[in-house]
Amino acid sequence: MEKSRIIELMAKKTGNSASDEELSELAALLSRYPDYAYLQEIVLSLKGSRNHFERNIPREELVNHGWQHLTDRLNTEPGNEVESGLPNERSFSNQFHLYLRRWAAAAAIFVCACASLLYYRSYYNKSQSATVSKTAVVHNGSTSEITLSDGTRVRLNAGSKLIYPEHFSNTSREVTLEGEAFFEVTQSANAPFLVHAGKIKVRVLGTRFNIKAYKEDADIETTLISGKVQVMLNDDEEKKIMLFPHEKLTVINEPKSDPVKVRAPEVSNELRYQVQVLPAAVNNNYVETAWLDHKMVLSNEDFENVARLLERKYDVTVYFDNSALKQEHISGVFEKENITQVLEILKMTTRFNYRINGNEIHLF
Amino acid sequence: MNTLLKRIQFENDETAFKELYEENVFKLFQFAYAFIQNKQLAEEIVNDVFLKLWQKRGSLDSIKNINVYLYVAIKNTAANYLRKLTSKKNIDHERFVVTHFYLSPDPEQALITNELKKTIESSIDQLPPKCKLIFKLVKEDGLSSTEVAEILEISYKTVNTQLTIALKKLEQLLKPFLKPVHLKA
Repeated sequence: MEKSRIIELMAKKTGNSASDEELSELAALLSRYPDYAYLQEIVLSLKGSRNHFERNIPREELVNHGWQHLTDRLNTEPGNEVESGLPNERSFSNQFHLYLRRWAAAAAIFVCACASLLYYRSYYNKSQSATVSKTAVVHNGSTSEITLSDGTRVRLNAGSKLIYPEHFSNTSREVTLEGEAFFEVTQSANAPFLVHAGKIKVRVLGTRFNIKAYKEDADIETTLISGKVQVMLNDDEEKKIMLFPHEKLTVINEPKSDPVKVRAPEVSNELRYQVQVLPAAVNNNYVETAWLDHKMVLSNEDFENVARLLERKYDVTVYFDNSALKQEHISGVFEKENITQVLEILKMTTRFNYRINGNEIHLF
Repeated sequence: MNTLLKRIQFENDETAFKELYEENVFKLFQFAYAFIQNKQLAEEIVNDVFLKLWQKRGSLDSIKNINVYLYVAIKNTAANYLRKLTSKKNIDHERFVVTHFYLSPDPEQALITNELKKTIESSIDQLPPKCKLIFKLVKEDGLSSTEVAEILEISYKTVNTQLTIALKKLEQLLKPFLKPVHLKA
């Protein structure tokens, strides 16, 4: 009885809403139950641990970046003038100062743009003449690993293609990916590493990350494990998205092969891409990189997406004879199972039948 | 905080505004993130709120409690965004995702082992989302139960009940470890 009263009073105290009488009642009870004094001490010592959230979203970055945005908006949106109507010299000089700064910024951007254009063109000419490009193709049913001329390691997942130069130039490293790959990029301060993947470009200095950009998939995913990358959208060159470790960027892809699937019109610009902080994982074992250990981790995936994974992993073609099955949700972890075992396991949780005909699998 | 507001309202003091921003941006960002789970949008929501605050700085003195005001503004702005995106009418409190929030004991303040620290952290992490959010707002953001009740539009009693749930969980967990504290002489 008294113990639950202690908890009740502690809750009030924690919420800063205990009256003086209640506080002294609590103190009296705690002196009789010293073990609860320990509980109280622990509750008092609980602090939001900064390290978890901040590891993913550093406070400094948020404050500086956010403030920068806010002042930009304050300066450009109407209705931010002093409402009292009292003109004062300070604000005038500020205003002038701001204009000056904006012009300076615009000029700087212009100069940079010109410079980079020149640089890019000169580099482009050079690299075209100097390098031979190679293509690594991994067919469905297998994965592969290649080491590029700079020591960067690339693990390619099933059904993927990587186009890369035999030798990188000293100033730039560029590759093109179709499908899924995990990159461990070697550090090189003066030669940024650029991955072209469908409608995005990922720019890195030295880091480990996963890109999933199959043409037929609905989304392009970039998952960063360590380091820092910058992602640019091809259809919106202005947009540069910085990713920090343990973040995943998802960009909506419009697969050309599937024109039936029309995105809802209310999907706004903001929704075309999304940055998520990945939930804390043990030893960096993320769903996104499970394929590196030949695992397939499914959490509430549409059967339709799962079918595509199976097609790549087992080099089969899946037909939905009953198209209602496409919407079924599938969860599970698969590792060493063969395709028949996988289907048998799926059958335990989802109602369907299958027929295997050589490399063709019919689901009904 | 109140002197900051006065400086903003009567002197158009931008440095005061920046101070107010820096002091609050991180916790408001986390609060917005709990609704929307999108870094860009959460940041935009926080900035929307501060932009509005600056625009109507002439009437700042009508705000009774700036803490409550800021959180409520974040909640409403987030609700607007969510409505636009999902056409949901009201924010469903059960949908809060506070997965990225941890409370951990400060070993300097309480006598605990590392192992116990981990146990406490993971058990708080497993509290139901609403309970965890309330516990976080109280413990980390330093809001009182009455303020939390106002912000989340729930009764004061509910807030206390949720806090009690959190404490009971800790009590249960600590039972095997509970031992008398050596009171400082």
